[in-house]
Amino acid sequence: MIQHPDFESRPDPSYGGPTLGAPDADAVDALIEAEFDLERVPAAIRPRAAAAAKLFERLDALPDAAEESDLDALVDATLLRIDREEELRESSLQIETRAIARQRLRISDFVGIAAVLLLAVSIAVPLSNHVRTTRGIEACGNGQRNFGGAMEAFARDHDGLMPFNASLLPDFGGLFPTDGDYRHADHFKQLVDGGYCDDAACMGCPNHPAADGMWSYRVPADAADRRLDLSPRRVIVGDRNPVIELVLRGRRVRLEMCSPEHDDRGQNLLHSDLSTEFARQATVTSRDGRPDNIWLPPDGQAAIGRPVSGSTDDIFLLN
Amino acid sequence: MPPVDDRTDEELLVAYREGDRDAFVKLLERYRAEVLNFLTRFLGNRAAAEDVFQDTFLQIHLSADTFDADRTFKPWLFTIAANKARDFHRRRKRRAAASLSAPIGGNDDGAEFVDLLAGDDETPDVPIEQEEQAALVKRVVDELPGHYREILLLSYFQRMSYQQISETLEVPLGTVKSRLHSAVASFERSWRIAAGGGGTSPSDPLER
Repeated sequence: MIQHPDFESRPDPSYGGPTLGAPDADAVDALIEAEFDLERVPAAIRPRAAAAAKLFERLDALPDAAEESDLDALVDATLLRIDREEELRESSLQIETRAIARQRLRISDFVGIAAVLLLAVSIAVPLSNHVRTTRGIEACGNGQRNFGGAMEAFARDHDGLMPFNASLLPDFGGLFPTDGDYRHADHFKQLVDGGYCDDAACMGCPNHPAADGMWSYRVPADAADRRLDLSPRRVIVGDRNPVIELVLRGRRVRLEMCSPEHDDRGQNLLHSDLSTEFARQATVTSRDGRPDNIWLPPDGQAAIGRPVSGSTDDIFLLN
Repeated sequence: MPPVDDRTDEELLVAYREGDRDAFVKLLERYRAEVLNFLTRFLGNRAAAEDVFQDTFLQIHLSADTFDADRTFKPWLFTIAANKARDFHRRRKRRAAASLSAPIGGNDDGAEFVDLLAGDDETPDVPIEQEEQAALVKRVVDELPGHYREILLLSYFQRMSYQQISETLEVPLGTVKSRLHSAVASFERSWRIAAGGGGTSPSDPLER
C-alpha cells in the first residue's frame, strides 16, 4: 500500500463505542435545544432529559481555572505577546528596506538580478504547481475525512449500514450504467437529506471541474456488503474513476492510470474503517492481501484489452 | 468600576480592525474566563491552556481582517481555540483515550446502548468526597477521546446549540448530534466504571 508522504492513514477514533438509544438521544437533543432548562423540555421526555442533565452536571466538578488576578496577568501576557509579534514583523520589514536602499545598482547587477529572477521563475512555477497540487490533494483528503464522518454518523443511525437506495438500481448487475444520468454517488443523497452532509459540495473532490462532481462509490448492492464495520477493511469511496468515462467514450485506458482529479498522480481513498489514504497506484492491497484493482471491474481485461492481475471480486468504484 | 461596553463582539472586532486597540482588549476581557476554562478542561493542564489561550488570541489578531462581520464572533473564537487545542494536543502526542466498546450495529455483535435512566441511580454505595469526586470527574473527562471531550464542554459550559457547535467545529449538523450522543454515552459509561458502579448493561439494546 503506497501512501502519500504528507499523509498518514488516520482511522477515525470515534468509530465504535457506546451510543444512546433513540429515547435518550431525543432527550439529549431536547435538553440541548432548551439550553438545559428542563421546564422547556416536553413533559413526556422530561425524566430522561433530567437524567441526562444530572450526568452533565457532574462536569461542574471540573475545577474552574480562572482566579481574577490570574486572568489579569494572562491578558497582559497575551497583549504583550501580540505586541512582540508585531514588533518582530515590523523590524524584519525595516531591515529589508534599509539593505536595499544602501546599494547603488550597476548594469552587471541588473544582469545578475535578471538571471536570478529567471532562475527563480523556473523553480517557482513548477514548485507552485506542485504546492497547488499537493494542497489540492490535502484539501480533497480532508474533505474525504469529513465525508467519512458523515458516513459513520449515518451508519450509527441506520444499524451500521452504508447508504444505498435500491430504487436507483432496479436492474443492478450490469457493468456499466445504461442510463447516462445515473451515478453510484447518487446514493449519497441520503446523507444530504438526512443532514449528515451539508450539501452536494461536501461529497466530492474540490478539484473536480464540475460543481456536482462526486466521489466514486463502491455501491453495497449486496446486502452482506452494506455494513460499514465489515472487516477486513476495504475501499468504499474514491476520487473520480478515470476508467469509466473513457470506456464509455470508446477510448483506450491504461491499467496504471489514476484519477484525473490530481493530475493522474493518484487518488484519495476512504476505507471502511474511515481511514484515508492517497494511493499513487490504481491498485491497493485487498482484503486477503492480494492486489486489488480499485478501478477496474472483475473482467477488466475486456475494457483494457489485456489480462488484469487481481481477484474476481476486485473492488469496482463506479463514478 | 469601568463603564460596561455594550457593543457587540462583532462591532468590537470591526472597531479593532479600524485601529481601536482598546476594542480588542475588551474582547479579550469579555471571553478570557470562558476560553481559559474551556481550554483547561479540554487539555487537562492549566499551563498548556494558558499557552493555547495566547495562541488563540494571537490568531484572532492575525485573522481579524479576514473575519466576516456577518458571522457570529463566539463560534469563530471557539473554532480557533478548539483548533489550537487540538494542534497542541497532537504536538504533545498524548496517549490516545481507550476505545470503550464493541463496534456498532448488529444484534449479536452487541451495539452498546447506554440507558441514561439506569445511570440515574445513586452509585456507588459510599458517597464520594467532593475533592475525590472532582479528581474522578477530571480523570474520566481526560480519558475521553478529544472530540468527545470538546463537544461535551461546548454543549454544557458554553450552552451552544447544535447549529453553533456545527459552526464551531466545522462539521455537519447530523455529525454533531451523533457525536454528542456518543460522547454522552461514553461519559456515562466511563463514569459508572470509574465510580465503581460497574459496566453498563444495556437495558434495551434495540430501543429505537
